Amino acid sequence: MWDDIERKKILIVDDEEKFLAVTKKNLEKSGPYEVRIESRVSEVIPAVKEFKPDLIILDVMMPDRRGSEIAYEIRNTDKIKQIPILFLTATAMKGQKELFGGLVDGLPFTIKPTVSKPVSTADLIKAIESQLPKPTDE
Amino acid sequence: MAQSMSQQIRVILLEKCRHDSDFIKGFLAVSGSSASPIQLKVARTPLETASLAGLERPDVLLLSIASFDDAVPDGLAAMLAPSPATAVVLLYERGQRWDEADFSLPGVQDVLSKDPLQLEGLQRTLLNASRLGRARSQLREKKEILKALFSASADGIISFSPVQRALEVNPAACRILGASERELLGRTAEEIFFKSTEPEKRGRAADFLMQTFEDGVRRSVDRVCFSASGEHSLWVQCTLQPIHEGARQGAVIAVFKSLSDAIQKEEKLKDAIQEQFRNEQRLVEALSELKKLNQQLKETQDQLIQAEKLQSVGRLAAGVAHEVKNPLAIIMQGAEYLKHSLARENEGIEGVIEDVLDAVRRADGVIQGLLDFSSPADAEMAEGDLAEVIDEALRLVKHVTMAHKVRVVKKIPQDLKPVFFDRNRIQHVFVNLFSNALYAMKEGGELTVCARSEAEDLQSKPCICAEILDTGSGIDPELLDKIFDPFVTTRRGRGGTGLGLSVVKGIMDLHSGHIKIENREDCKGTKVTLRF
Ligand SMILES: Nc1ncnc2c1ncn2[C@@H]1O[C@H](COP(=O)(O)OP(=O)(O)O)[C@@H](O)[C@H]1O
Ligand SMILES: [Mg+2]
Repeated sequence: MWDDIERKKILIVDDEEKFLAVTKKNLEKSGPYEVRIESRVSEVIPAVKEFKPDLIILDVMMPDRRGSEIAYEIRNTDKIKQIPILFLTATAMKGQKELFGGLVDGLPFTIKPTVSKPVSTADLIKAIESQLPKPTDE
Repeated sequence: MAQSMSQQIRVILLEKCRHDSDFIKGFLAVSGSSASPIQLKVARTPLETASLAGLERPDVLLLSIASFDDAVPDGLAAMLAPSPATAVVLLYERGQRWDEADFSLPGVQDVLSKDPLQLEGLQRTLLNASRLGRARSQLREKKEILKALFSASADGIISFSPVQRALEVNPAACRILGASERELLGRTAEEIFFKSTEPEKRGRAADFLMQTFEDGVRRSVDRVCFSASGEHSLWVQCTLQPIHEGARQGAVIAVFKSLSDAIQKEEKLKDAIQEQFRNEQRLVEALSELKKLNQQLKETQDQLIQAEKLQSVGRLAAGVAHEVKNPLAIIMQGAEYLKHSLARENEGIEGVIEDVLDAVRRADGVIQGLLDFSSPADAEMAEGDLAEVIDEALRLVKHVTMAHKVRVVKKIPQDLKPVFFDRNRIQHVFVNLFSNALYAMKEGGELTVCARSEAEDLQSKPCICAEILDTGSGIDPELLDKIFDPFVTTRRGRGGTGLGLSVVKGIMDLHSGHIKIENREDCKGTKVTLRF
């Protein structure tokens, strides 16, 4: 349905496999996206390196390793550190610093922007589009 | 013999002139041969007279002034020294002049002239003089007895002049009152007796006694409280005796005795008991105060427990949110997928799926509200649309609105100016206010929400005003004063925390806004006014 060249690569990381599966379907059906999903924390960095997404959607409250730590790792890994991240949360409380705002577990970056679960496809696309680098006029 | 002795008048005659003395002697002897009671001894000099007087204790000294060597008064004093009560009759020489001053010499009863000396006159004078002398000596004796009584009395005695000043004070009075004579003399009865008496002890007895000074009627009281130096009070038995019974504002003698130690002790005991009673009362007061404090402590504790509960609700909410929102996310995404895949083939399925999505949003709204409620967040101020926030809040309470069959009326103009606020918090404000209104309208009613721009004050600083009106139970006027205090609720144990309005107030304060809650005037119900 969408032209391959136009398609933006999006990696969604979440521990809810069912959420990943259906969200991938919805996104690919509703917009020019190529979506890859990953539910295993240890596979995230390799997946990013290999897939080279335009945008990463990261669940913050994943078990065993917090999304914020994965984000930290991404942000400190050459070549992938510039990729925009959109955070997904299931406990979005505005400004609750311990979890989302400011320094997380001593991590020197802000977990923003966030999208709160449950999210409609339309809202998700809105958020994705706002984070994707704008096509430059050439 | 004893009788004759008592009737005899012993006379010592001072007469240096033998002729004169013989004449007088003869004179008296003739007249007193048998019946005359006069016994005469003759002295030639004042010295002789004095020593004779010492021996004889005469009733009368018959003194010829011409026989004094020196001044009459000195000689007289020496003669009277042994028996001061002796009557004195002075004899003048022929041609000697009367001297008024002689009458005022001590003991002088009469003055006679030798020219001519009349027998009967002399006899009568001597008789009178001796009688007077005796009376005087008796008086003196009585006086002395009285004086002895006065000073030896164990009772306190004070005599007062008609103007109530103390004239005489006996040692017992000094002792009982604990004051020196000097301190008491010249003072009024009121000053002496009641000056430092504690007012509550002065009592009617005191007033009663003092009346004697006015009406001259003797009064006696068994127990009255006097002032005493060094002690607070002194219980005495006291009599006020007017010197002339019935004489108004006359002299009065006060006689008083300190009541026995036992009674003093009893009074002290009474005082002590009263003090004890007062202490007990203080104790009771302190106890009730303590009880109150305890109660307050317990209430505070309850409040802390409530707050603690609330915190755990917050933690619970966060946990529950995570567990509920993830499935909701799947349901939502799944429903959307189904909508895309099945809508075209199955007539009516889109409506069902929309319902599912709606349910998901509603469930999410509840969870989100719970999270917002329990999260302490920093203010995130931005310009925003109040109407939108009101809509969101109404959506969050929609289930209650429907359950209570409440009609919602919105009166919000399209062109409402934007408000600078923390969107989530203001939403929180409306949710709380709506919930309160809805809980007050369990049996149905009308919830009205208005918003408009208005000039806040004379400087026409513009502000946005929002009003929430309900047709519920209204608020007890007594409750209105403390409605914003935390934990004030009429729904304790029935879902109320009493925190709703305190949170609302806190948020309005954060926005430098204003909130007013009052009972409606047009009908039963409550009106809340918010100003931004
Ligand atoms: N609109 C209203 N109508 C009637 N009573 C109200 C209204 N709003 C508040 N109240 C009274 O004020 C009390 C305190 O409200 P609130 O602080 O929200 O605590 P809570 O709702 O937990 O009781 C309520 O218990 C209720 O008695
Ligand atoms: Mg409430």
